[in-house]
Amino acid sequence: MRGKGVKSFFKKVYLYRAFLVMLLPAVAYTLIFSYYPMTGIVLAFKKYNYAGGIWGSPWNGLENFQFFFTSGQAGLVTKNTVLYNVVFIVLNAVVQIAVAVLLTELTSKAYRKITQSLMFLPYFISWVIVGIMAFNIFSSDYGFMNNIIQALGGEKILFYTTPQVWPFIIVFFNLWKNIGYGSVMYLAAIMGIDTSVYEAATIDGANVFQRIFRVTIPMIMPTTIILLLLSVGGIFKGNFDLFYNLVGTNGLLYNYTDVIDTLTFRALISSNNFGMASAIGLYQSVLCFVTVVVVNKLVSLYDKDYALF
Amino acid sequence: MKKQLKKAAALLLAAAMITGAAAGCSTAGQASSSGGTDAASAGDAASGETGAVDTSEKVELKMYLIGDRTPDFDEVYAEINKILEEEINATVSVDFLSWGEHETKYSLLFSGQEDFDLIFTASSWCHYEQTVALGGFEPLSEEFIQTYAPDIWEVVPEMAWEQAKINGTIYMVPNYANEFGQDVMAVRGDLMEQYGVEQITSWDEMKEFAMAAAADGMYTFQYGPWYQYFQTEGLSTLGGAPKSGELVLYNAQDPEDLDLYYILDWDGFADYCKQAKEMADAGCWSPDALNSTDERQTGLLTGRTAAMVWNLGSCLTYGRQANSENPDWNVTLCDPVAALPKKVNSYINNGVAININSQHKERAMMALNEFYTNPDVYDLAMLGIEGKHWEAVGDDQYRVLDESNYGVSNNCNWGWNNMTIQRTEYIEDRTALDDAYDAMMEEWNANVKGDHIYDGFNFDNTNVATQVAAVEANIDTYYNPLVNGLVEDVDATIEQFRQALEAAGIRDVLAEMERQASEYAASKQAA
Amino acid sequence: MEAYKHKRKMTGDVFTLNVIAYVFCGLVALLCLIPFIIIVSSSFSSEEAVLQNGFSLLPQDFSLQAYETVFREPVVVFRAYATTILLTLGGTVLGLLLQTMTAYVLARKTFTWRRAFSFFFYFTTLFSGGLVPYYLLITTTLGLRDNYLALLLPLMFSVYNLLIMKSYILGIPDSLIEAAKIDGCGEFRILFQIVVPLIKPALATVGLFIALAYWNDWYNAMLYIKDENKYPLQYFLYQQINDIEAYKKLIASGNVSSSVISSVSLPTQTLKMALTVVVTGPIVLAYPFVQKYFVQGITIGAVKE
Repeated sequence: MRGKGVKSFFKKVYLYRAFLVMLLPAVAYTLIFSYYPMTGIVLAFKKYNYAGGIWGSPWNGLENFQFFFTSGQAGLVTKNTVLYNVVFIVLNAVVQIAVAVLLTELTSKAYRKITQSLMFLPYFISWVIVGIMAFNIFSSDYGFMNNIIQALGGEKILFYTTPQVWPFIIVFFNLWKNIGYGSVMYLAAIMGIDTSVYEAATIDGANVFQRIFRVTIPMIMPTTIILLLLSVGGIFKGNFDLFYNLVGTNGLLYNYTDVIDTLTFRALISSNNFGMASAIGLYQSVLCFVTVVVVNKLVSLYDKDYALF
Repeated sequence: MKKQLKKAAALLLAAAMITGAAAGCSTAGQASSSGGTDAASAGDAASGETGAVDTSEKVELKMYLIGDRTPDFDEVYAEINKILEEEINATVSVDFLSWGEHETKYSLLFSGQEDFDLIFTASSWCHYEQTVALGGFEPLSEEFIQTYAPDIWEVVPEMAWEQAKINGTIYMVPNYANEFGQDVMAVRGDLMEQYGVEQITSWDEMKEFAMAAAADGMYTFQYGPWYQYFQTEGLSTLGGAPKSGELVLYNAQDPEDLDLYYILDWDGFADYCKQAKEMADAGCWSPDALNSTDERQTGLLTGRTAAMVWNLGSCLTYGRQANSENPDWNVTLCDPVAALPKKVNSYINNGVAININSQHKERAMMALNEFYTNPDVYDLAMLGIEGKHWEAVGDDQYRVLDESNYGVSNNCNWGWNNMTIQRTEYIEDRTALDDAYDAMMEEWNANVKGDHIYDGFNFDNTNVATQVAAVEANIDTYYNPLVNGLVEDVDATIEQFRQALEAAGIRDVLAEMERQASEYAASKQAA
Repeated sequence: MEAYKHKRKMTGDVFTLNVIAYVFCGLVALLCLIPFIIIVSSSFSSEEAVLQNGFSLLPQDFSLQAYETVFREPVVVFRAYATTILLTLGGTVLGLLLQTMTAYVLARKTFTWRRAFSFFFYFTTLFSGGLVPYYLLITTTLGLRDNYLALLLPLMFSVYNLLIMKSYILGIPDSLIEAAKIDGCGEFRILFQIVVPLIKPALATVGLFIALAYWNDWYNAMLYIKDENKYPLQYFLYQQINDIEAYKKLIASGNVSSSVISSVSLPTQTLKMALTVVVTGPIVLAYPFVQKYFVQGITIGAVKE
């Protein structure tokens, strides 16, 4: 029995030899650059010191995880992280698909090219600069918004002391920054659709809206699902640069804006504790892993080819 | 080998003392490789006429500094190396960790077991406590310092070594400069006159001015003046306590008072927060204070704030600039805590440590001794090349010739600041502001506060690391808005703050802190 | 897609959609453009004017001071440009090759191990050992300090791009590949002669992403490169920007000597903006060349014949 298994294994290796040769470089790369350093996860269970390094430092059980749960903020920041990410994922997908579809429908080639290029610009503006610009928009003294509100005879809004508005601001900036980059992926998917499919739809007498919803959207589903699954893989990881540069040390806003990564940053800023940082990273990874496995299972029940693995 | 060496050195020192030779030998320890007097060829560790150390082998030391390499840095250090080679048969090559990088790379140097000898360090902002906790620095015994850096030992005051101790061991050579920790105000003189405020020497006068400015539509501060408040009460931040020491204070003005003031157990905090809210509501600072991207001097220079709160030196620099751009402003210096004697900043705010993996610890210490106490090396590192970057005015002053390519005190020479040999700037066209600065400086130097036991205390949080991290995670949420008067209901927020910290384990932290502090106090009082 | 559109008349539904598309895309583009105009304008303004009046759409008190600072040492900046361009080109070609080859195998339905391998790759996006072991790998194990390979290798392969590429390749009908197989084509030939011409938009997209990753990289340079002759372009921008963080932290920690604080050379507002323009400009100019792949559809039928 066993011998047979081994035999059929080698048979397959022979059968797949071309595939395996093609995979070899990527597999080697991944082993060296991803799996080998991944052993650093053990730091989450260690009291790190320089002399001992990653392997020689003493174990300390689950102690590194403790601070996060005793901080009293674990629930809040985990919830915030997930909620923000869910909103980001859904809104990004909807808006980016809309942009991609509408761009392809534009009759003027030049207009399409120009608008598409312009949408890419925010991607290049670093979060630090976005934060500075946001301050110039929302500050109470010289902010652009308040200047307009006052010019229109309204009452100043103190954005930086009003936490409720920040989820909207944060979601907006995230959307804004990724719109060009994200829509390119959908654009490429739309461009990959065989034009004969469209012609068939046109002959059937479908109007343009029906064509979009019956042909374009279903045809880019595989890409959409892959992108969604990839984003779900980071659902417990907060975008530190985004939150930190927009909110900074303004504690008034934390109830609405604090995510796991910003909390960890504040907790460890003075101690720079590698073990604790690894522990939180592992906590996030495990939660992401579980979520992805579940979502991937659901997707593969729907269609095996759409699943990630 | 090392042990033998030290023994030999101690013997030699003892011998020298007995014969009285040490009196005339202020450069003991600076072994010289030049000249035929070097008996190193005999292979004896304790050879050489002046010192106790074998320097026959030429050594290239590696040193890490913080900041960016200035254009003329290499030229200046080539000069320094000439001297070092002559004095201790060693040269130094310097690598920089830039401001933006050191946060990430400092610890990686140690994680990667990189081979280097000396590194700049500082309490809290430059990784001192963290690196010691992870075992990155060589412990420096008194004997080691006395042997290889006798001049440093001579110069650095007891209190500085005390502050550098973590769990009773020294890991850095602290700098020796009496910098005052207390901030002052650079205030618009024209506005003081307009508001009828004659002087600002106390909390009440400062508040009066700020309220008058607010009524006039001017901000006075960038942030809430919390430091000014507790300093007026004689309190000071406690080394190693959470939030850069701000969460727990001690009465620095009264050596008899050995209590620790956890701010949430201290009535002053609530009182301050209420006053801060009153001032913030009146408009003494921007409601966006917590997110401001302005630099500290921007408000004053652009005329948006009536004052700037900062250390004396910066107030002088920017006050000068403001006055030269707007002569009618008449910016002057005020001390809002004038009534109290002045506390000297902790000496471990700058220092140099030796890498535990260094192959040349002894020579590294000797090189540091040169940087710290050899006036020629000192001037080079701080000011650059004489005649090119600066020129001497008298014995203890300098005039800048070329500021842009090396700069004054701009090349991370702070680790070996030594006020006994440091030159001061010669100012040509003096203004009233310069006189005010000199007068204040003189007054402060004459009015340094007496030592308090806790001045040298540094809380080691390794036993309660979990609780400290949980506490730190909660502080900004409440503390920043409270201190800047931005909360709706002060009492309710303080209560929430208290509960959050209790849940995070602040009592464990405080208990450990009390234990360490009382043990420390006991050991000092016994001594 | 162009082709079929010309055959159609502008019917009512197409007209409605186009009105929506023009307005929507125009507005979005404007929202993305305005901040960039502000950045460019500020970079050409004098620092005093920006501090006094804040940002504006047009340059205030026109000044080239910020650019003079950026190009203070022109040789260094141009060398950095060269480094970045070469790294971006080389990295993109190698990365694209590696990713396409791997994605092709993972997309082949006859390869029954494809799920296992997909998982093998995907797993690495979830778990990472953190900075310390990675740093030790590059510096100690591989000995790549101050080596261009330390900039090239870390970004060459991304599972994210791999899976996107895989999803595009999945869109190619199996029949096409099977037909080639029956004709006796080897896997390499199928990949390069049949699949690659069909996935040009995908290659352009993933290529763009790889190129952007290289173009924007400063972190690896910060960690592994000490020799300033080897710095890539973005390093200069981020070194300045990170100084702001350092400064904030110094200010916040209270007990810092004045000489320490004053030696942090904080970038002025205008300098930050000028650096953004300098590091963004070229890739924005290069974008239209990639773009042509996003405006042409693919006709699989044409390839079949």
